[in-house]
Formats: sequence, C-alpha cells, structure tokens
Amino acid sequence: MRKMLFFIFMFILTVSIAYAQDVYYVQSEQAKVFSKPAFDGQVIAVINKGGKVELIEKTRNWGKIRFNNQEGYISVFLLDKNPPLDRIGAKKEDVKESGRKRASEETTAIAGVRGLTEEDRKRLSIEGKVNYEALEKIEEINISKQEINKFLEEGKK
Amino acid sequence: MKRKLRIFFGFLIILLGSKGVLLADDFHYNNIIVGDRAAGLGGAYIAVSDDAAGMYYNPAGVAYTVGRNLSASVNAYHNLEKKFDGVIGSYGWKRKSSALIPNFFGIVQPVGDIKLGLSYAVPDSIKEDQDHVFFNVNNNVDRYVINLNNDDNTYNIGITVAKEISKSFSTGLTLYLHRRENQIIFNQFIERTGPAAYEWTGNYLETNETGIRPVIGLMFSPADKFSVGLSLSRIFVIDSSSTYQFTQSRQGYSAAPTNLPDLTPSATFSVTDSKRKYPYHLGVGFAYFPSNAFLCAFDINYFSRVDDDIFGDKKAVINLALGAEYYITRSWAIRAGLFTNRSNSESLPVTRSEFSPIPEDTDLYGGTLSISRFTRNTSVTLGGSFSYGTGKAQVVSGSNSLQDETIRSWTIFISSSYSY
Amino acid sequence: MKRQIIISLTALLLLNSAICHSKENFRERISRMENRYTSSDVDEEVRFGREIAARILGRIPLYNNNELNRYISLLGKALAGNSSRSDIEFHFAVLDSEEVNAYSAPGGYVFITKAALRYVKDESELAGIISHEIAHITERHIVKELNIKGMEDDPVAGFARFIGGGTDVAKVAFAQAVDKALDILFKDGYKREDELESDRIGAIICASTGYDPKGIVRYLRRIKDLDEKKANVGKTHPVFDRRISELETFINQEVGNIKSPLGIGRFEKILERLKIK
Repeated sequence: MRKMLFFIFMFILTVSIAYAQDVYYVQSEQAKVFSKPAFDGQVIAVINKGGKVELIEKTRNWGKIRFNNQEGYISVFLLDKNPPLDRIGAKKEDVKESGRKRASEETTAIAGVRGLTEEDRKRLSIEGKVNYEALEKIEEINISKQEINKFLEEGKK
Repeated sequence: MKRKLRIFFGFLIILLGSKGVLLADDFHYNNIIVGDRAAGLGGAYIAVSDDAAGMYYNPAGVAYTVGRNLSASVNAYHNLEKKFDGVIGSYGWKRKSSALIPNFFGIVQPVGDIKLGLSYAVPDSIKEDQDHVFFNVNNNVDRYVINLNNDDNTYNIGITVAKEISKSFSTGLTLYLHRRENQIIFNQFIERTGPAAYEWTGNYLETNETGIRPVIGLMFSPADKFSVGLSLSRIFVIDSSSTYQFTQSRQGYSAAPTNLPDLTPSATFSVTDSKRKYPYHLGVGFAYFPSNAFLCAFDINYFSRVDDDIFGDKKAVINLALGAEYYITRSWAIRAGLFTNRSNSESLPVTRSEFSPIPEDTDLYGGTLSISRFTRNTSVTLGGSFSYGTGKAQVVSGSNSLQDETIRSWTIFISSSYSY
Repeated sequence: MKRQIIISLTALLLLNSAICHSKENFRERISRMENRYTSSDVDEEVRFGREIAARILGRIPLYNNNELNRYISLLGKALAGNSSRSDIEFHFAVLDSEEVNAYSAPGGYVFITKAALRYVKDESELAGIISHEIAHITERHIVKELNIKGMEDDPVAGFARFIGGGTDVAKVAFAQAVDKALDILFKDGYKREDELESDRIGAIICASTGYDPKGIVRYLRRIKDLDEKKANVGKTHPVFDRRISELETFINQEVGNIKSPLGIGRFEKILERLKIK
C-alpha cells in the first residue's frame, strides 16, 4: 500500500513537472495565433509580448499551443522559455541627458573593460573609420506605432 | 623489520602502542567527499558528473558539461574525532583532527569536440596536534604525557579528456598524479614519583609516496532522463619511501609488579621502500532527472581486497551513496544525501606492523546537506556532512585486547563554480 | 515484493520518458536556464552593435535621402514588430554604395545598399532582404559567435568569482571583437547554417507581417543571374543555389502562401519618386 502511494506520488510529481516545463512566453510585440499551421489560416487571436502559452507539439516553424483554453498555431520562433526582456533604451540618450556622473562612469567602463577609450573613438573618427554622426542621424529617425500601422494599412491597397 | 616492541605493564593496560600511530584513515575509503554538488549529494555523483567535479567521479560525465568554460573550487573544514574507551586506566583517549583544506579545484574547457580539464582534489587530509597529560593513572603511573603530531595528506592533480560519442553515450579518462605525504611524531613520557621511575618512548614515522591514479569513465543514458555511470580507478604507487625511528629509555620499573628492565637511552631505525597497495575501485551510479528542477542519484562503490604485509591487509568493501537535488527556485537549490563509509579492516585483532595504523573496525554512516545560490554564470554553495559510527579498535601495542571506538566526523564546505 | 518495486520503478521510468517527450538535454538544470540573456547582455549587445554600425558607416557613407531612409525605417520597424526581439530598438538606413549588399549589426542596426535597391522589384522582395538581416540580429549570430555578454552585477557572482578564481567575463577585448565582427560582415561572411537560418526566419517574419515570403527568392534569383554576369555583388553570402532551393522547400512546407501580400505597387512608385535609378 505504501509503495503504491509512493508510486502515485512520484507519478503525479513527474507528470506535473513534465507539463509545467512546457510553458513558453511570447517574445515579439504581438504574435498571431492561427487556426491551422499556415499564414493563410484564420487568425484566431493575437497574443501580446510576455503572454504565456503551453506548447503541445511543434514542427520546424509551427507550434501547436494551448492558451486561455483555446488551441491554435503560432510560429515557434516567437516563443521562448524565458519571459521577454523589457526594451533597452538607446545608449546615446544616456550620455546626453545624464550629465557628469554618468559620463564618468561611461569613461571608466570604456577604459577599464571595453578596451576602447573616448580618445580611441576620436582618433577613429578623424581617420574616417567610424561615423557616429551618421549613426545618430539614423537613430533620430522616430517612428510611432500609429505610423507603422498606417504604413501597413496603406500597403493593403 | 617486524621488531616486537615490548613495552609495558603486564596487568594494567596503559600504553597506546608505539607502533602504528596513524590516524588517517586507511580503514575507510570515503573520508572526505570531493566536490560541491557531489558533496551535497552524499557523493552519489557517478551518473551525474556533468560539471568540473565529474573529473574526479566519472570523467565521462564531463563530456556533458554546459557552458564554454567551467571552473569550480571547494574549500572545506574537516573535523575528525576518534574516541577510544578505557585505554589509559579508566581514561578514554580522544584523538581529534581538524584541517582547512582546498578540497577541490577544477576547470573544464571544450577543445573541438572533446572536453579538456584540469583538476585538483584532496580526498583525505588529517592534521592532529595533541598534548595530553593524564594524572594518577594507577599505582605505577602518576603522570602520563602524550605529544602527538600527525599530518597526512593525499593530493590528486591531473588532466581529463572526455568525449561525447553520442547524445546518450560518452567516455572519459582522468589521469591523476597521486601524492601522499604522512608524517607522525608521537612521544610518550610515563612517570612515577615514589619510588621514582619513568619511561620515555619517541616515535617518528614518515611516508612519502608518489603514484598515478587513472580514472576511466563511461556514461550512458538507456532511457530519457535516466543515466548510468561507470567508473574504474586505482592508485598505483610508483615510488614510496617510509622511515621509522624509535627512541626509548626506562628507569625504575624493574621491580614487581611491572618487572620491566631498565633501558639505557637507545634508538632504532627502520626504512622501507615498500609500496602501499591500494584497491581497485569500481563505481556504478544511477541518476534520474525527472525534471530540470529535480534529480536523484544512487551510487555503489566497490573496493577490492588488498593484501599488503607492510601497510596492512584490507578486505573488500562496498560503500553506498544516495542523493537528491531540488531547485526551490531558479536561483536556489538544496541537496541532501546519505552515505556509508564502511571499514575495510580485517576482523580484529590483527598482527600489527610499525607501518600500519591503529587497527579499528568501525563502520561509519553519514548524511550531507547543502544549499546553493545561483546567478546566471555562477553558483555558491554552503554545505556540510556528518558521519558517525561505533566499533572496536586495537589500540594497545602488543596486546590483543579490543577497545570500544566511537568516530564522529564532520565537514563544512563553501564552494563556488563559475562558467563563462 | 521486491519484484513489485522493480516493476513499478521500471514502469515509472518508461511512463515518464513517454510523457516527457523532451528532445532537450535532461541534464540541464533550471538554474542555468534563467534569463539566458539578461538585460545587461542586451545592453552590451547594443553597445557593441552601435560600435559596429558606426564602423560600417565609416566605411560606407549613409545615403542622404531622408524620405527613403524614413520609408526603409517604416518597413523595417513593421517587420521587426513581428520578430522575436522586442527588447531592442531597430534602426534602418540606406548606404550609398554601388555594391549590391545588405548588412546588419547586433543590437538592431540594419543597412541596405543603394545598388541593392535597384534590383528590388517590389516591397515583398525588399521586406525579404530586410527580414533576413533582422533575423541575423534576432538569432544573435554575431553575439553568439563572439560571445558578447554583459557583466553580472549580482553580488553572489562577484563573490563566486572571488573565491572561484574565475576570469572576468567582460574582459573581452572589445576592440578585438569589433574587428572580428567586421571580418564577418565584410570578409568571411556568416556561417552557412546561420545564413540559412536567417533565410528561414526572414521568410517567417515576412509572412507574419503580411508580405510574400517568396519575395526574397525572386530577389535572390535575380542577384544570382547578376553575379553570373560578374556584376558587383557582395561575396559574403553563400552559394545562391543551395539557399534558394532550401528556402523554397521550407516556404512550401512551413510557411505557405499569403493571400494578398502587402505593398503591391507601392515600392515602385517610391523608387520612381526618389529617383534612385
């Protein structure tokens, strides 16, 4: 009897662990869930970043998932076992906005660990090997979510 | 060589014997559990073995280490206490050893499709410093002074090669350089005030041995989440030298009832380059990994019989270890284990030689516990082990009488591992 | 009784292996799965990628056409929103180069040359090229190759390093890593499997966004012909034939067709207006 109980306990333990293992998190801003494993399938839901799904089975691209008591198909490349990270802000803003303390930290980091000093950067700039100006120009291109949505809508025409 | 050192007292057992004062524990094979994770698991590691400490337990497991490089180091404080009852009159005799030892250090690095490693292990270490004075032991002994200094350390340093043959089968080899250094200074002074009498005995014993210790390992996974490990090793002593010096002087004990003749101060020496014989060690381990937060492991360690006239015969022994590991969260894990450390001693009493330790036959049983804190690339572990056993010992030189022995041993360790 | 225990344990084992149909390494402990990439890693990746991007721009000038760069950025960000990296800000730009090529740097920097745009016939093709570059970033091909990692700021890690004698991770010779990354981008190319992976994931990003995943195949065919005519085509991408055939197979098996792809006709008008030709 005791052995039976032990067996049952172990079974429950392993089963629960086995299932708990297959929880995945949506990594993209949003992910479409399709009714069948194809992009021309019907979109039955859109899960936002960080949403939890349970992966039942998968092919190279398609994962059959369970979420909110529904089943559907999602691209497995958008899933990961770890929750997604928050967006990391652009570094240039840090340097510009946060004054001396930050700047000195940055210098220390660069000198001590990064192996590339401000002087190195300047020298490289003069030699024309790097172009931070152009880079900052690119980083300044600001595009809102609304603009992206509008762009996609217009694309349908 | 096998000089009989007849020393003392017919009707009152007093002397602890000049022969074989070694404490370090030749009668047990599992005195210090090597490694950090392994130490928490009671040493049940042959089928797990997938980190730096694997080089010591089962080099095949090293093939499954994760991360580009891996290093681990373990520092342990080891404490051993042996208590013999009724040795000196009604007094018991307690011997204690404690030492802070660098228990293990290892690094593993992948090179192509093999893993290469370097490791250092201290499977046994004894450091005793004692001064005892017993008063009024009996009518013939008013003062009994014992000085003892004993250092016995075994070091293994070596390289490991491991290769994953397939996802479910791997093999590995560790070649350790074995070095054991033992030095014992043991002096006794016995004194009677009226009528005045004394006896002095001084012992010095030194053994230095060098050898190799290959460890061959296999690891396979017959079913998903289940692994079986196999490891075979033996210490082959290549070079050894032992020196024994004995000085003695006695005065005033020639009358009855002791009837021991006076001795002018004298010294005797013996030297041997006999090589200590070590057993074959075959270990079989089983590990089950039901999830990535839980594992349990079980090892059976068999040590073969040893016939060794000089350092003492040893019988075959089986030690068992059982361990479990559970991750409470992703950054905290606990491990617990049980182990045996059984005596390899022949049935007592035995004939003693000057190079053999005090015979004892005491099986030890113990447990381990550890807790680990993980960050992404590192872990720090704090743990300990305790073992206990009672049995018999043959403490008194030239006598077949046996004493009750109690052994307590504990170790605390702190370790860290690092992968990058 | 003993036999019963053995039987039940064996059954348990078999049952368990049946349930946990995991193809993953059962030895992996959860302690090692925690945040395989931390925000400090991503931080480092962006810092590193920025440096690479600045070097790319040091070699090849930015094509100064705000409207075109804005268009590329709109398209790129729309695609990036359907990629697995929502933790970084993507940036897109056109380079003033006569070599047909596209580049990406870790941390979200994607570039396409003016010459490459000339051979693009529709927006799905362009989406295909950009998605391929985005995939190099999402799959961290350079980050993994050069083992770019952030420092662990956990005090336990510091303590472990202290008693463990481990070498400091972040003591990567940064400048050296930058040079290696530039070698990958301009000389040696990515590993073949990384290139093929980017093709596959790029196709998925396209399809997820609503573009025709086969756009890139059409583009690659055209470039292959060009290459055979000894035109100035970047040599850092692997043999076209294999890429094309593997990608087509993958699209047919796993991606499928898109009913009404986006951007039909838009790109042509934009090119017309911007006078790249």
